[in-house]
Amino acid sequence: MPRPPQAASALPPMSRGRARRIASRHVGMALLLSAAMVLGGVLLYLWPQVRLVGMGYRYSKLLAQRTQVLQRQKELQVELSSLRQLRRIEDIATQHLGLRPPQATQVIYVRSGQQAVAGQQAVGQRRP
Amino acid sequence: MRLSGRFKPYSGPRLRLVVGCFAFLFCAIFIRLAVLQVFQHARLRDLAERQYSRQITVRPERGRILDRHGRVLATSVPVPSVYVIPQDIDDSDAVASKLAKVLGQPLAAVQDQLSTVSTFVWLARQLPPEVGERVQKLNLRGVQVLQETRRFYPKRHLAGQVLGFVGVDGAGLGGLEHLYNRELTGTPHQVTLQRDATGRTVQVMAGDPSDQPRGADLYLTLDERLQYIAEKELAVRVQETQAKSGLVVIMHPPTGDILALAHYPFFNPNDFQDPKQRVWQRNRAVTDPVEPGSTFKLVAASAALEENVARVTDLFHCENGFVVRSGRRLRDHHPYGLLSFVQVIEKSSNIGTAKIAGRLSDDQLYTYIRRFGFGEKSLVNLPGEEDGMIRPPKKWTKPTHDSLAFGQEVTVTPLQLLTAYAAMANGGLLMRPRVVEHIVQGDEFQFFAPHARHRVLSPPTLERMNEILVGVVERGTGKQAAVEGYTVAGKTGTAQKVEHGTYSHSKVLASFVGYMPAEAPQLAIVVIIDEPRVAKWGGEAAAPVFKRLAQQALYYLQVPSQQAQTISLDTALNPIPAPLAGDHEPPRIILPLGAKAGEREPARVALSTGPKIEKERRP
Repeated sequence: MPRPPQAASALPPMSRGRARRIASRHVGMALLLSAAMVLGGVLLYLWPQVRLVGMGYRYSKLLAQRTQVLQRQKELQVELSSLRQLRRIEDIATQHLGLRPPQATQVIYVRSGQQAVAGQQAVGQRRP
Repeated sequence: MRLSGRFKPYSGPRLRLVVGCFAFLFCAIFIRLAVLQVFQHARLRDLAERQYSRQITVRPERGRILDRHGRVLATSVPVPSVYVIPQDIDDSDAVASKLAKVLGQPLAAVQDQLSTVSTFVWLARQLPPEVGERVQKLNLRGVQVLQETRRFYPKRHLAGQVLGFVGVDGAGLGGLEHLYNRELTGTPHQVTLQRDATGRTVQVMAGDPSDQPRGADLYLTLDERLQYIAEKELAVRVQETQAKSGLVVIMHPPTGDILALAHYPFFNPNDFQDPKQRVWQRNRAVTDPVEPGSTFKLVAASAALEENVARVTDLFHCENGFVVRSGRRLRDHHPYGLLSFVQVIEKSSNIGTAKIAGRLSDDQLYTYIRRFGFGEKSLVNLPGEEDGMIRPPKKWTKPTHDSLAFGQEVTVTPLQLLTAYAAMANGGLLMRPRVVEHIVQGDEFQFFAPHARHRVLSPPTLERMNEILVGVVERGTGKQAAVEGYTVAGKTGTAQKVEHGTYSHSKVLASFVGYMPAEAPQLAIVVIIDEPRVAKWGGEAAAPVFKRLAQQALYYLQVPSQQAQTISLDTALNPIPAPLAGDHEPPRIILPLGAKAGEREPARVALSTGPKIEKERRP
């Protein structure tokens, strides 16, 4: 059976060495690209992790700050309660301001309709 | 296939050797991986987690204790504590020297602590914040500062015996702190933290440390202001009478709410470790039953009237102050002849009361004693309550019947005594006293509703007894308890204390118990002065405290006196009475809590030239 005629080429025939160089350049490019992609992937994976750790540190710091502020608030509340001691207030009122309890005749009670009965619900009064 | 000539040097046994070595190494690595990843997976994972994660137990902050108006009586504050890990300390002498200076402790004591073999040693707990900061600034290896909470009572000794106290480990050891320790403590929760190589927290893996639930808050029936008034007046009177101690309880009869429970000497729970104070830490209103003395005559008199064995007009001969009955010598503090039933109680005659009680059988007398709540716990929500002592009739001796009539051979707690009188003030209903009104934990709410135990007396008997008790204050032994402008009902008592097995003539328990206003009682109060030296009778030592207390308490509770000028907002346009002669200050008008702005105007118009109008200030 006759062999088909080979197709005529416009380019000069490539030497074996040149073909190997081109092939190795392509392989190198492919390797570089792959390495870049791997590196990119790794960075893409690591970046949120790094951010997460950073935010974790920040969160811990904020929690510590919050605890400190709450502690300070607590201390101030306790100080306020201590300053509201009735003995202290009475001392200031009587000794520093010259106040004294009113006499019975100096007080007039004004009752609303529901409170007409003297003393009704006196003990039961609550803060709203 | 044959290798080309260039690769020939690498063929043959050497290549096989290299391939074999690599294969062996790969196999070894694979096997090791399998061992680590499969067979030892769980153990190694635990080890790793232990290195980078830490689980901590967050103890919730202890709940607060508040009065009936929400004023804080007990709370917790953060304080630093210092601990050491002895094996982490390099130069223990130098560290001990620095710490001793800052902590103010003896050098030898600190050195002892640092030289222990233990892995953890508390060096100082619950320090002032500035000391903790100074220790932290020293930056010593093996010395750590930890934030703990400390119980703090901002009102100091106010209601100290009721509140109790908390130990350094945060457990309630006395009073309400002990009884409601579980509720106040709350439930600890776990938080898992991830930490880095330096020990810093990187992130929270499970649980939320910022979400710290607090223990339950306890709302009491106590009123801080009434408690303050009670403690102040009690302290003054105990000092005036040079007594050993004193006690006051104030109750709201319709509900059984204890509004104040005061002791003197005081107990400051902030210094519970002070040995001088320890003696006074008990709440003697419930833990120490005492012989009630003449205040107990209420039972025999009420029982005789209720059982119709005596009438208020009946006369009793009081034997001129001395008689021998059932083999026992009975004495009165004054010699009396014929006295009516009413006068027997008003003048507090022991002989007369014994004769009244003599008309009752043993069983009848015993039944009424029990009906008034004596001999059993009142079930108040306070720890350590005692029953008191009353023997059943089959164990009585001959004189027991007479002795019980005037309050001997029986012991009662001050709270039981007050509860019995409060029943008289509450239409005969014996209430269960309460100190804790409700507990709040987050969204949960537990309410202790007022609870009526049973009816003690019928209305006609109550009415007669009420008149008799009013007579005691108006004409009898309790005159010093009278409060101007109010009707007071009550009874004095002077109980001899038992010393070396016999009744002492020098040591007595002076008491007064009563309620007011008698026509619509708002308060029942018991005052007990222990071993007064100056005024020994109940009417002299205890009644004046009752008077001072009642005056201030009724004023605070806005219960107008009979002479008080009271106007209704509906009729405020009527002219207000002129101030009484002798008053130098114009009277003030106090608008009730919750009065609206519009309600001020009628009063202002009516009183344009008169008194100054003020809106009542909320506590």
